[in-house]
Amino acid sequence: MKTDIFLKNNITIHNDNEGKKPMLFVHGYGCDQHMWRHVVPAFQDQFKIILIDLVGSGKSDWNAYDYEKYSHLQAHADDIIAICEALALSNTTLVCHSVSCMIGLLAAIKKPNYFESVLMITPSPCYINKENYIGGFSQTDIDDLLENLDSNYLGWSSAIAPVIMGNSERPELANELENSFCQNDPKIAKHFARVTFLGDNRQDLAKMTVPSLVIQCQQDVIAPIEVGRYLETHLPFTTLHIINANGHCPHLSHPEETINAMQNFLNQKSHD
Amino acid sequence: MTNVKTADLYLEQLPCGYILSDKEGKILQANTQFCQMIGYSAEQIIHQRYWQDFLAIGSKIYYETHYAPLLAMQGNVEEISFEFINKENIKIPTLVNAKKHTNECPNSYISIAIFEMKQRQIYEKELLVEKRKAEELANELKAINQDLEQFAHVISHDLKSPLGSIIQLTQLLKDNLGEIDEQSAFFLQSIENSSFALIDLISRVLKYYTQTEILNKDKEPIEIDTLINQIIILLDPKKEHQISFTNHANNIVYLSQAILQQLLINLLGNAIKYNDKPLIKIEITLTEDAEFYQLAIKDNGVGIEAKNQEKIFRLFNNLGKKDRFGNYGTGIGLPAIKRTLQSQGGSINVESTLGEGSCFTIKLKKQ
Repeated sequence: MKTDIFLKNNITIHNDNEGKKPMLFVHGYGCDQHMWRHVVPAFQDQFKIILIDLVGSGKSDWNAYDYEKYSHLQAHADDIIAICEALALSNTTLVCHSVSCMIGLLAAIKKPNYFESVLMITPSPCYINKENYIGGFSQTDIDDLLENLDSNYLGWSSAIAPVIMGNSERPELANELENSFCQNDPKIAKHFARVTFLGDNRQDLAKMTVPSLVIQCQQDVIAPIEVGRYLETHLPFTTLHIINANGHCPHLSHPEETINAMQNFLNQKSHD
Repeated sequence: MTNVKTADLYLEQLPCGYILSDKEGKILQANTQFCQMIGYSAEQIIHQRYWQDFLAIGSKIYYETHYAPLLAMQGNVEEISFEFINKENIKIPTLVNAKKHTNECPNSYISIAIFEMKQRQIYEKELLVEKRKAEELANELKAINQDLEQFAHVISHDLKSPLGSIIQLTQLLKDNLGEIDEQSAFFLQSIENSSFALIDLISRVLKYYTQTEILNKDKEPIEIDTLINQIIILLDPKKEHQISFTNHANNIVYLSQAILQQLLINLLGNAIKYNDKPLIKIEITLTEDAEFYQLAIKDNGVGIEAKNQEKIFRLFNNLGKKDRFGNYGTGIGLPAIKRTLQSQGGSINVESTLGEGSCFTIKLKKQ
């Protein structure tokens, strides 16, 4: 059973057996656990690091992607709970990006005692504009994305990985990245895009009892600043930290700012 | 200084749009081709705008979820399909390659090449439409096939139970009536015989629609000599016929025993039944190559006319011929074999001369 779950979510663990508290990282839409590489080193002395791929992404077991089951983010949240149980994790610090923030939220609502805190990087509870709510997108925008996905996956055969040139800065990375990074099954990628961008978890926010941090970028097309403000108002026990960065993946583009925001929050919490 | 200018000149001459941006996408330099494509002057965009501002919304999301992470992680991206929106609000399909500069200022600058692909996109869209159509059609066909199988199953079952009653009642009637005249007895017997024949037919139909799943059993090592000799004894217990087996393959074959038995019994049975010669001669030969086992069954039977050689593999086509025992075939055996073999990546073919005999060749996939 334990090996099954390792394969299902491609779990990798750094610094086991040192009695440290666990920090579980969950990637966002479009990528996989490799996204965390700039951030992980800053925390590995302090925490036991667990990285996973969501089912259907990266090197997870794609066969486990049941389209009906994964039509709701709760299925991914249940996977995270199952991982915590299988690895006997307690007092976990959950670090999530993008859509995974809502997955983390759902997991923490279902099993609040599993988690010490949830760190959310560029979260959004709802990407579509609704009455009195700015999410940033309209329904037709999401259709446009799905069309773009079609076009971007057209040249893909499932056997062909994105061509990766030698990384002259850090050649050791090239091999590891090959065949895995952002390599997703087109059909799953489209389904996950729909589930991600058409989801609305605003009603769930109030149920959250675990303390959380919202890391918001100044300019982010996917999660505009209004969304961060909305979360600050509607998510109980949360801290909003707007960092000096642009884009949707500050942990990749601005790792230092992101790490600082995370550390600030964790330090403050430990002083509480 | 001269070098920079020369480089700029080259950029102007490039047969594609070119942008130099910082790591967030802010435009630091852009050639005329790019400016013309989006409909703004260099002054309006350089140091003023992020190039992703000019992307259509779907492309913007793709930029944030795929392009930016990939570029940050691997240092380059290739063949990303992006749609730009120009000043006139017209969408321009492009392919984009981008690369981080690694030499002087690592991570700071990104070179981006933009290739328009209007023609290609029209073609891509056509391909996508056709692909979707094909997928829909495949799904429809699958559903129809499932219905059909279900239908055959239900009908066969529903026909079987009243037939069972007819047989039972006929037998009761025979017992009740006791001594009856010869003609009435013949009629009753005919009712019984016909009912049995019909039940047999229904069972075969049922089997035809279910055996593909039933016979999809795992391949196992089979001693082919033993198996074939057992079947020969089963079909010709008194050794009235001349049936031979020559094996040019390894004696141990990896195949599904259930499938092998089914097709041997069927084909050897046919070879015996449809034979008008005083001495029935059947030659079975097994050969193999890298991919297939090939089983040939040659008889000296009635043969099949060229125009009918295709028909015998169609369901319920018995060619209206009686076998040597005076019975009509059901037209199910060969189609059933063909269906099973095809589901296993194999095939069945026939060569035949009317009056002289037939040779059925079966190919069974090894892997």
